[in-house]
Amino acid sequence: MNEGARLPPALGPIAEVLALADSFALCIVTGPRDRRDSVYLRLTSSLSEEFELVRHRLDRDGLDFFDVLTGGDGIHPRVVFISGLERMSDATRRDVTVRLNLLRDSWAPHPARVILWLPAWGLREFRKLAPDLFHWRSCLVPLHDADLPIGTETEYLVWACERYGGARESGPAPVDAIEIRRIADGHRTIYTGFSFMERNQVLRTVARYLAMVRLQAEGPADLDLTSRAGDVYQLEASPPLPLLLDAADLAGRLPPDLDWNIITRAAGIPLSAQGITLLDRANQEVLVLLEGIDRLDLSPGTPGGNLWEWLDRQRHLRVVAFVATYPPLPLLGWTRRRPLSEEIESSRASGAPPDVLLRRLLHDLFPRPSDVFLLMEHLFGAEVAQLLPAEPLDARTKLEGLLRRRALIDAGFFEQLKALRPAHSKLIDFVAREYLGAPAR
Amino acid sequence: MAVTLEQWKQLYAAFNPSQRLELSDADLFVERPGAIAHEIAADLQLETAGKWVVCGSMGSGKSSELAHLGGILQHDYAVIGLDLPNTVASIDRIQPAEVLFLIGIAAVRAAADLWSHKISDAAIQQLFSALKPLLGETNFELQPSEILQGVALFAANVAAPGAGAVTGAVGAAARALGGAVKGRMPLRRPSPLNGVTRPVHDGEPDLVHLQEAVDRILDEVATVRTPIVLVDGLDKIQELTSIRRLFSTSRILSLPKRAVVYTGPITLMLGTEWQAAGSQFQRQRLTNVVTRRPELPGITLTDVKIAAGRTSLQQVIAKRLALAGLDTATVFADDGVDLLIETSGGLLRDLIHLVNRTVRIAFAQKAPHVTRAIAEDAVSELRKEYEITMNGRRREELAYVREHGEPSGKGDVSPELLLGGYILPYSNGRIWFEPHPILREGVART
Repeated sequence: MNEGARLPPALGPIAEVLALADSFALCIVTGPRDRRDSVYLRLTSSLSEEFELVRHRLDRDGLDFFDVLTGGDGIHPRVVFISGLERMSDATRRDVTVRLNLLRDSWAPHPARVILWLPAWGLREFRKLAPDLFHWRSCLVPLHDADLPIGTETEYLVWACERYGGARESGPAPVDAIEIRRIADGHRTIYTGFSFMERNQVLRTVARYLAMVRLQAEGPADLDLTSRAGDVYQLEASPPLPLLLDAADLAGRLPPDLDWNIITRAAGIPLSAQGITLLDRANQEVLVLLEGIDRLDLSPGTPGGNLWEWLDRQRHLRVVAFVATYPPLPLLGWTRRRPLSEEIESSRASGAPPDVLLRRLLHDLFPRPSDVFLLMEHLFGAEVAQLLPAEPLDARTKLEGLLRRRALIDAGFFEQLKALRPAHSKLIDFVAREYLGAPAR
Repeated sequence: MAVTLEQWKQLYAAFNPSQRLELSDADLFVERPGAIAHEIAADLQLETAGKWVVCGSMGSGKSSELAHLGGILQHDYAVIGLDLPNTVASIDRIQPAEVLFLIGIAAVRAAADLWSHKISDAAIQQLFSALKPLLGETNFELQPSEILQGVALFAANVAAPGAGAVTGAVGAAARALGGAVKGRMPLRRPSPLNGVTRPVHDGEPDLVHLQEAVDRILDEVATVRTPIVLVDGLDKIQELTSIRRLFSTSRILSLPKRAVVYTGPITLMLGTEWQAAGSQFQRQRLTNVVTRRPELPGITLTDVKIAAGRTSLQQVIAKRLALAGLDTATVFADDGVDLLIETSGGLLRDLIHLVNRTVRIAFAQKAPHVTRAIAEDAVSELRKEYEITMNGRRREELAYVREHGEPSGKGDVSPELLLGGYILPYSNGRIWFEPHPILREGVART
């Protein structure tokens, strides 16, 4: 991602303080509730050559500032960006603010410069509860959205997450048409012809998902947003959309290099990766799973582009949401053009356990090698090192071998999976039911 | 001569609002007209067991005044300076009996550290024994050595100027309070004695025992020199109920038989808040320096007094400019300095803030001097910081103060604005209040 290095003028006083101060200095920045990552991003982009910027989150790191105030590379002056009050309950925030005030004197001997982020609504309370600390400020920078213009892709993605993020929001946030267009253009998701509210819902979901995935993959590591990856999964609760469409017609239009499946919604939703829920001709809800759609070339004239153009023309269709809740994951054992329900049925008919389903489940829930090792440690404890075969196999193959050898796949196994991935209990129950013939308890 | 970039940096450090004036910075201290340190020092001749409360706006220089008082008295008295905020983790939770106990502990530490005088083991044992029954049902375990080391003495600088009170004091607290942190300075100090005593009533036998124990220690200090205790930090308490508990509803802070001077919150300037406290303390109001003619009818102020106020603030600036080898005429090209002094309302901390912002803006503009326009920018910046927290209720109260010369006393808004420095007290023998001049433009008369 190409970053710019120019600090927005509104943040200029901070740069001036940092340039002048040769010992402890405190800057306070206030602004719209969730813009702390945007502020931090701009500070790192433009100041990281001269200063060592580090973050301290009061809600996560607490009130022990010793390490963060005293550490450093010894070459660049350290700047500590403190946030987190805005993420606390009222009572906790007030208590922590009072404590901050009383700890003030212990900050001063350290040469670190401190930038304290406060949401705009918290300034009066802070001034009242931490008057001594407030009096130490070298500058107070009140920000508005307009003070943080977007100039780079990362800035844009952070803004999108801040704006559309927050799994605890209820209902769609108002979005103006220009922003919608930017999101749509920026990510080539062509959704025209839907009602304004519908489009908000769709784009909010899409924008947030895409932005979050991109940031996690490519953005700076110490943004608050990247530690909120779990929020993505909250979008599972977004209503999937009944799209009145001839499933067969759609199936005929899907690009040949796209993995897809059409299954009943009831069966598909717990497994949903990426896709669209439709109402078929019989008014049955079906889910078209479109794995890897985000990797398709959607340029006009390409198969992917044609698909989206065709979707765009279905203006009589009522799209309520676009299901795109999971990061794209390769699907182990996934058979193209073979509905999952058929796969399950064929597994049952042969009397063999549905390994494909289980492998896919494990792959979805434990996508990275480190996740697999976590699972193995959980299952096998300290023995794991001895149990691992010496052959140069990848972690997943080793896990599958172990599971087979030790015949561990029972109800207790699925319970352990649920303990590790409680957010996916529904999905695990589904696979357990298919695998064991009865729900996991 | 133009101010160089390097000199701007030096000036910025000299006007850093986070750097507290220590006794080691005595060269920077400017005695204000009607300074209270000398008044208390004079009163001490007659009232050897007096109890004073120094109250004033936050940032008006109470701690500096207390340190200055320590400097005046150090040759004739055994000055015991208890720095409460650096001794306990949460001063807002401190109980009156704990303050009394810590006075005894501070005396033990000061005797050992400053005058190489060991307080007898029996007296120390008596003090700890007296505290035990007051601990109520808490599981707090007294660790005498930890508590002794944990007390922070700001008067250490009196004996050893330049030692760096803050570092020394916090370091001591760290050793005592943060055993678990293995030599690190615990930035979150778990307090060994902070809100752990049970409520006690005046005259209760357990309290009398504590008082006797503290007095015994102070008597032992008196074999060196007459002790006087200076307690800094109670002015930081914001909650009215806590303030009342310490100064009004209990007499515990006035129990020591030796002289004690406390810093107290500005709300004690309000008649209603002072009523009950007045019977046990003498109040010394550290008002702000008068820099302009008051608007209120009936307040007489001579031009000489106003000029003296301005001169003292000019000296505050000049002494700090001198740290960079500069003088006022070199740094300030025109009457910018007068604007800063007038707009500060005579509140020292705001004057430091204003000059700090002025220096920063001049540096950013690579200006050779501070012009009036730069000073106006600094004033505008600070004004916005006040205004951002204003609302209708506060404006109404400020309008009342502007009209009547005193807070309305309605609800919490008066103490809130006093504690926040939106309302400033002044004195010409009589106390009156004004809205901070930086807010005056936005405040109508009622």
